[in-house]
Order: sequence, then C-alpha cells, then structure tokens
Amino acid sequence: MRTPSPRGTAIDARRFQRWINHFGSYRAGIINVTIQSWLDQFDAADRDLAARVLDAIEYYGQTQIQAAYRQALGTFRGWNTDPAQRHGKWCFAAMSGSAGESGDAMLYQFRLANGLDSRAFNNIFVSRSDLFRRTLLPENDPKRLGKDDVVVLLDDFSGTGKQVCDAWNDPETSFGALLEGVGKVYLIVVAASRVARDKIAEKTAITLVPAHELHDGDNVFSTHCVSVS
Amino acid sequence: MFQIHKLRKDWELMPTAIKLELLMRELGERKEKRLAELTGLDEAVVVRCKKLLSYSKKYQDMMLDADHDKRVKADFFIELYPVRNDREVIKFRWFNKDKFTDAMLKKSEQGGLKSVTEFRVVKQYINNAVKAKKVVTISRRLQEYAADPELTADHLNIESAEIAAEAKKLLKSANTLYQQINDIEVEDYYGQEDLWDKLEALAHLIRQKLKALGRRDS
Repeated sequence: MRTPSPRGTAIDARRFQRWINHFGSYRAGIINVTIQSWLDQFDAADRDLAARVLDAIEYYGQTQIQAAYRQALGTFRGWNTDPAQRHGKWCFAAMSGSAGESGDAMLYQFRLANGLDSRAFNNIFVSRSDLFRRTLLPENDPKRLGKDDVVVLLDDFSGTGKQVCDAWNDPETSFGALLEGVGKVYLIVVAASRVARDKIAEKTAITLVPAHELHDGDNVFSTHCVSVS
Repeated sequence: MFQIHKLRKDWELMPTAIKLELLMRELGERKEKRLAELTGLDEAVVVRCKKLLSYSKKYQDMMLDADHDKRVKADFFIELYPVRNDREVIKFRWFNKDKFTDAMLKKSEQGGLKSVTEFRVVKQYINNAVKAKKVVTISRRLQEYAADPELTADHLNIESAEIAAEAKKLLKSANTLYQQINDIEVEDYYGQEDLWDKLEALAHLIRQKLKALGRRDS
C-alpha cells in the first residue's frame, strides 16, 4: 500500500494530476471526470477518506505486470525456452476468465513478458479444458502430463486464497482431481496476501508464486492498517 | 489401455465429459448405452456429457472457470442445446451457433433469462411456430430475441394461445387424476387388474414423455 496524503489535504488539480499519472495506463482510460464521479458517490464528509484511499492504491500497470511475470518464470527450475533443455513437459493456462476476457489477456501479457509470443510456443499455452484433457490421456500418450511435468496457472490476484482452494476442491471444476498426477503445479499471480499463500499451501498442491506479497498492513479492514483509517 | 476406473462419479459434468471424450476416442465407441455400460454412468449423464462436448472449447472453459462468479453452469449449455441444434433454427440464414450462444450468455447476464429452463419454452414456441407454418416470423422473432438481451421468451410466442389453453385443460385433468390416484387405498382395489394395467401404462407413457422432454429421473 502507498502512503496516502495526510488527512485534510486539498483535493485539488495537483492531486488529481497525481492520480491521473498513477492510474493513467488503466485500460478503461482514467480522466478527471472519471475520478470526480467516483468521489461524488461519497458524502462531502467522507471525501477526504475516499481521496486518501485513492492515494493508497497500489496500481499494477502493464509494465509492472509484465515485470512480475518475467520475474516469476525466472525462478522456476527446469524451465528453458529451448524444449530440449527443459525438464519435463510444461503447460501454461489461465486459472480464470473466458476467451476474450482477462484470462486470455493474462496469457498474452505473460507470453509477451517472457518472449514466448511466437507461434513456436503455441502448444504450451492451452485452454483449461485442453489442460485437463492432457492429464487424462492414457499413460503411453506422449502428450500426457504426468509426474515429471509442470503446469503453470496464471491469475492476477489472490486476496484470501478461497477462490483457488474452492476451484481445487470443487467437483464442478475438479482442478485438484484433474491435476493430481502432475509433478508440479504453480500459480503465478501479480499480487497475493500472505493469508492466501498459507491457505493455498495448506489446502491444495499448488505452489503460489506472487510477484508482490501483501501483508496485514495492506488490508484496509485490518487493525494493522495504519495508513487508511 | 484406457483407465476407465479414473472416470470418477463425484465429478461434475464438464470434467466427466472431458474424460468421456477421451474414452470415446480411445474405444471408437459413441453409443450412449454402451458408454454407460463401460463407465457405470447413467445413460442420461452420458447424453448430457455428449451435449457439452458439442460446444467449442471456449464454452467448455467457461464451465471450468476457477472463479465461481464467472463460471457458467453446465445446465445452461444443456438446456440451450435443443434450441441451438433445432433442425429448423440451424437453417435460418442469420443463425450461427456460437454467436447465438454468446447472445444467450449475454441475455442471462443481463436478466433477459430468468432461468435456464426458459430455453424449453423457447423451444416450444419454435416448435409451435413451425407447426403453424410461421417459420419466417419465428426466424425474425428469434433473431430479435438474440439481438436484444432484455427481450424475454414471450417475444417468441406466436402461435401458443391454443396450446396454452390445451395445456391448462390437461393440467386440470392431471391434478384431478393425481388426487384420485393418491386417494386410492391399494388393498381396497387389490383385484382391479384393469385399473392397475392402465396405471402402469400411464406411468410408462409419462416417463417416455418426460424423457423426450429431457427431464432427469429423480
């Protein structure tokens, strides 16, 4: 969390400019009117707090997201862009998001960040249904993902870890049952809380790889958060 | 050899469908009855899985979304299937299966669809219109229904006044018959063979009709 301006700081053009600079790369396009209409939702007495919330937001733009994805892949042992140098088979898939939505966008960012956007790498970036197909193939099928292989799932954020744990154990998705034969399952996220990391470690076989870890002090609802109150 | 035992009964439909697809490919077997025997699944489950497999991966992925709020239930696609594959609808020049599916997803998100079972009403309206030789009208209405997420199934109601009246009459008779059968003391009617034969035939007929409708066995 970023340190907000002190209470009572004027909500003036300079402050607006700081917010525009900070959130400017957001895909929806942030302009003064966008911010003003967001602030106008609040009563006059609450606007100072609302403005301080805006000050405190840690925004990860495309550059930071790509850096996070680069950093994450760089930590994996056994990974190499050259398939001959790679240990086992590797597959990358979005944990959430339908075609054309954020899941695809995440995969695309990940590929760009790691220089994996050429056609040569198309076969390691798969849809969720294809990922599961590959774990269920007969043992003698060369495409089958097994104990020597690695699955890397991508998501943007994990706040409590609940969604990941639910998807792992929920019979509707059965991520856990479908991936149980795979050697290693990673989940790369741009940011996650420590609570999420602990919960995911406890309830799933996923190794969470967050580029940024959030602590109690980053949670505005926590008593440990001193920046916004 | 294919590991049939891996097809787990506690899985929901989409994960099961993926496994079933591999089984079909491995064994070259597509008949529902045989697949049900091989897997130990109910034949109706096999049928539903095959319906899901008829959708492209984009839609299959929606059923496997880790985010519960974004996940689309398999029932949505199963109920949509008869409309999406209706033999008259697929002939409409404007109709495209995936675009129509996208439109229905949008309708569902925006409240134009109260429940996925409304697709049964859509199908009924299409059937009625076709029977009344109003194919051009129903094609136009269905196109409008797809284009406007807020339009409800009532927009497709062209030729249903007579059917609705018949259904109402039949419902009344069914209620009366239900009550009469419910009141029967089996021991008092023990020797009424004709009655029991007729009731058995009726039960069989009802099951057949419900199966044709795609209702699950409870």
